[in-house]
Amino acid sequence: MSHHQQHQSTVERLDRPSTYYEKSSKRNRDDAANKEDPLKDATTLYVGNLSFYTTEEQIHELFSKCGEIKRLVMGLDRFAKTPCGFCFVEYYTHEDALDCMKYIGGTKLDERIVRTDLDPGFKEGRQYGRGKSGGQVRDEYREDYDAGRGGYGRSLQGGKEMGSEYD
Amino acid sequence: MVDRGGRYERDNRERDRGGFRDQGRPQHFKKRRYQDDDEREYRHQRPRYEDPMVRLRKDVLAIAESPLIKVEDSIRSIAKSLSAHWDHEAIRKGFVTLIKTLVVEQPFKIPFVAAIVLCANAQKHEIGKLVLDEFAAQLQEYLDKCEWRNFKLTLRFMGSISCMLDGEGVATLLNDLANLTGDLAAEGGSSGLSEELSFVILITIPYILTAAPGGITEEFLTTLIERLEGMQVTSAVEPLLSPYAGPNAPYPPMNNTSLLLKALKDEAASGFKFEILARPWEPFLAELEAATKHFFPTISMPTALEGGTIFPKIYFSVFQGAVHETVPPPTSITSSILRDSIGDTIGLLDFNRIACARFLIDVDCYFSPNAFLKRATPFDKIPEVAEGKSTWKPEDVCVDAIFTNIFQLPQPEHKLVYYHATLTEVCKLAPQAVAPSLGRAIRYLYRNLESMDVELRYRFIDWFAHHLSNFGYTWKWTEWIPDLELSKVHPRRSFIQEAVEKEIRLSFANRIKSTLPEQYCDLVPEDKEKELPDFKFESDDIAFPEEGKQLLNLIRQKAPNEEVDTLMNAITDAANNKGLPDPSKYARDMYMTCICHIGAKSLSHVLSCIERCKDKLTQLGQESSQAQRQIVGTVMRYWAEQPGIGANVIDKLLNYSILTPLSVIEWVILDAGGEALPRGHAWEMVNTTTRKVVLRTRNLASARGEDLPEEQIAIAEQQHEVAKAEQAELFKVVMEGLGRYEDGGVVVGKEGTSGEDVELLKWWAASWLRALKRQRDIEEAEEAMRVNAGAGAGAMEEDGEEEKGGDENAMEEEA
Repeated sequence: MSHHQQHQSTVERLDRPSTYYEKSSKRNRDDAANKEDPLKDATTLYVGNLSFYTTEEQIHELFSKCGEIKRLVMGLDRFAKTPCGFCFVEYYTHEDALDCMKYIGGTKLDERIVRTDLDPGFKEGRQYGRGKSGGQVRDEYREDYDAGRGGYGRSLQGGKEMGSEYD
Repeated sequence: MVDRGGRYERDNRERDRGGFRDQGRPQHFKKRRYQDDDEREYRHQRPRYEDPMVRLRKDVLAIAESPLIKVEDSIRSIAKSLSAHWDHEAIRKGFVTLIKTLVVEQPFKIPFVAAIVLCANAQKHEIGKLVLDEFAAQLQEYLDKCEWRNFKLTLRFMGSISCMLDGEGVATLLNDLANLTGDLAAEGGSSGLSEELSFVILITIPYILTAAPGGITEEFLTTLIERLEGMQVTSAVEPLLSPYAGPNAPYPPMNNTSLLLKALKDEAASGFKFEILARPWEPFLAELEAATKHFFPTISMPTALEGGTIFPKIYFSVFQGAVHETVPPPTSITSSILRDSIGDTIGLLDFNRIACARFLIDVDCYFSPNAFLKRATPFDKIPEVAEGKSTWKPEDVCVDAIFTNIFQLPQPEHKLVYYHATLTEVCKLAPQAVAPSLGRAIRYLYRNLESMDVELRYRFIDWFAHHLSNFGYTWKWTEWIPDLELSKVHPRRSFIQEAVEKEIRLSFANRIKSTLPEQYCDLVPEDKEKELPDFKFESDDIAFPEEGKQLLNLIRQKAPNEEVDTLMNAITDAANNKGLPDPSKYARDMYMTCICHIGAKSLSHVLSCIERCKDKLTQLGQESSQAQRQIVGTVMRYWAEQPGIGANVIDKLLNYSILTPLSVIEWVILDAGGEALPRGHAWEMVNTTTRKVVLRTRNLASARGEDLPEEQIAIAEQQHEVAKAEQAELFKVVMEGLGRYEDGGVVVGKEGTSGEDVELLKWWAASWLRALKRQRDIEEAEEAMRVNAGAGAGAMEEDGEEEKGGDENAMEEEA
C-alpha cells in the first residue's frame, strides 16, 4: 500500500491496517495494485472484542479521547438485535482514526482489551453479526467460556438454541 | 513489536505466549499454535545466507539495547562489517538512510551511532566523509523546513562526531544560529522561536564537549552561553502557563530554557563535566586520533521562517521535595539533558507506544553506566542501595517525563490519551518497578490539588480514571477516607467525587461501587444505578403531570406536528391563565424532557429522536432569549445523576445548531452558578464549547489565506469577522460571570452556604478565570500573529481540520 512506504521506520507503526483487511482484499489483488488504497483517508474503525454489555456511552467516553465522534454504530445480533461485541466508530478526520489505532487499540474498555482496525467505511447491513446464529462468527465455535460474550460458543451450547431460528 | 534484531524476537514471542491472547484458550488450541510457530521459525528463521544489509540493520538497531552485550564489541563489529562491505552501494545507501532515521526516532542511541561512525571512519575515511555530507544535506533540509526537533537531533549527532571534524567543526553553525536567535529576539520574540533556537543551541553543547574535549574551546562556548543569555525574552503568555498558582504552589514556575542556561553557566564554572552522558567511543580513542578528519560542510541560514507559535516549556515534576531525591534537581544539567532526551523519545515514538515504553524502561542502558540506581529499587531502600552514589530512580525519571507532557500548558504535543496509553504500557512492562512510582506521583498531585490549574486538574482526573480502568479499578482508596469528611466543594473532596464519576462513565455504577470501600458508598447513590432516570411527570408534585405523560406518548408515537403543537399551546395558555411567569417555558421544558426520556436508552436513541424533532427544537430555542439556556437546563436536570451523558447530549444539540455556544456557556456560568464550578462535567461543557468556537474561528482565519476566488475570500473574511465577534462575546460573558463570583460581586453558593465554602467557591472561580483567560489570550495573540504574517510574507499554513457540522451527525435509526 502506498502510504506504507513513505520511509521505513526503525520501529513498527501501530497505525497500519491489520492483515484482516489485506487478506479480504487479496481476492482481487490484480486490480488492487492499480487502485488507490481505500484506507488512505479512512475515518472509520472497526472495534472488536467488546463485551456484549458494553454500552454506547462507554465506547463514546473512551473513543472520544481521540477526537469528536461523528457516528457510532453498534454491532448487533442479526436476529435478537442486541449488541454482539463489536462496533464501528467514525471520526471526522483520518488523523483521529489513526490516533485511535495508535493510542486506543490494544487498551482496555470495560476491562477487556479492545481491537481496532481501520475500515473503509460503514455500510448498511454491516452492523449485523455474520455467524450462523446471528452473532459474530468467532462466537459460534469458541471453546472457552467468556462471560462478557455469552459464555461458550453458541454451537456448543447444546441443542436448545440450535434451530431456534425455526421458532 | 519492535524491530530490534533476532536476539530479541524470541523473547518477544515468549512474552506474547504468556500474554492475554492465549489466556483461557483450551490447551489443544494453544498447542497447535505453538507448533505452527515453531515450524515457521524453523523454516524462515535460519536462512543459510543472510543479506549483509539485513544483518547490519539488525545490529545497528540493537545497539546498546542489551546490558548483557558489551557495547564496544557491537560498535567494533558493526564498524568492521561496514568497512568490509562499503563497496556495495546498497550498504552505503542503506546504512546512511538507516542512521538518519534512527537519529530522529531513537535519540537515546545518538552517541552510540556516533561511535560506530567514528570507528568506521578510522578504518575507512570514505565512510566518515559520506556520512558527514549526507547529514549536512539533511540538516540543511530540516533547517529550511523549520523542523526544529529533527534539526536539533541531527545537529546533536554531528556534534557527537566532532572528533573527526576538521577546523571549526559545528562552531560556525552555532554562531550563525545564535545570530539568527539574536535577530528574532530583537523583533520581540513573540513567536517563541528565539527561545526554541536558544534551547537547540544550548542543549547541543554538552554533546559536543563530551565527544571532543578541546575540539571547540570552552572559551567559545562560554561566550556563546553569555550571548544567548543576553537574548532571553519572556513571552507575554508565560505567566498563564505555569501548572501551579497561588501561595502554596509546590515550587515556583521555571522555564526550561532558563533552567538549561543557568545549569550550563554552573557547569562552565565547574569545568563542564556532563557525567550523565555515555561516552561509547572512549575505548577507541587511540584509533580515533589517527583517523582522517573532514571539513564540516557549510550550512546556510534559512530565508523564511515558518510555523506557528512555539510556547515556552515549563518545568513540571511529581517528585519534588521528596525525602530521597529520585530525580535530578531542576537546576542541574543532568535534569535538562535527561528531560530533553526522554521528552523527545516520547514525542517521536507516538506511533508505537509499546516500543516507546520499552525505551523508557531501558533508559539506564543509554546513559553513563552508573548514572542511575538499580532498576526497581524500593523507595525506602534508596539510601542503602545507593551507598553514596546516584539516587536517580530510572522509573521515576521516566514517569516524571510522561507527566510533564500530560501537564504541559496550553497543550502537549500529542493527544493526552497517548500519554495515558504510554503510562499503561510502562506499567504493563514493569509493574513492580513502576506502580510504586505512579503511586507516589498520584499522591503528590493529590496533595497539590489546591494549587493546580483547573484545566490540569481535569486532566489529572481524566488520566487517573482512565488509568485505573486499565488495571481493574484498583487503588488504595482507604487512604483518602478522612478527606470524605471535607466540604463537597473542597478541591480534594471534589477530586474524589469527579474521579469516581469518570470511572463510572468508563464502566457502570455497580462495578465501580464494588471497587470502593464502604465509606465511599454515598458517592455512588442508588439513582446512579438506575437504567433510566425517572420521568418527572410521573410524579404529581409538578406542574402539568398529565400533559407531560400525554406529550411523551405523542412524541413516542410520532404523532402529527399539529397534535403536538395543540397540546403545547394548551399548556402555555394554561400557564398564562394561572399567571405564571414566562408561561412558554413549561411546554419547552416538557418537550425536551420527553426527548431525553425517549432517547435515554442510548446515545443513538437520543440522536435519532433529536434528528426527528430538530425543527421543533430549533423553533423552541428561538422563542425567547432565555429559551436555549432553559433547554440546556432541562437536559442537565434530566441527567442530574449522570451529568456526563447530559453534557454529551448538549454537545450534540450544539452540533445541530439547536443551541448556540453562548447559551451553553451562560447556563453553566450563570444558571448552574458557583456550585457547579467544582464539577467535572461543568468544566468539560465550557471547555468543549469554547474549543469548538475557537477551532471554527481558526479554520475561517486560515480559509482567508487560501487560494480562492476573490468573492469567496470576501465571504470567508466576513464569516471570520462574525466568528471572531462571537468568540469575543463568549469570552466576555465568561470573564464577567466568573469575575463577579471571584470578587464577591455576586454571592456564590445558595443561602446558608458556610463562609468557608464561599471562600472555596471564590477560589474555584479564580482558577476557572485563569484557565479561560489563558485560552482567550492565546487566541488573541495567535490572531495578531496571523494578521502580521498576512501583512508580511503571506498567510501561514494552518492545519486544515475539517469543519464539524451538525447535519452530518445523523445516526442510524435503530429498530
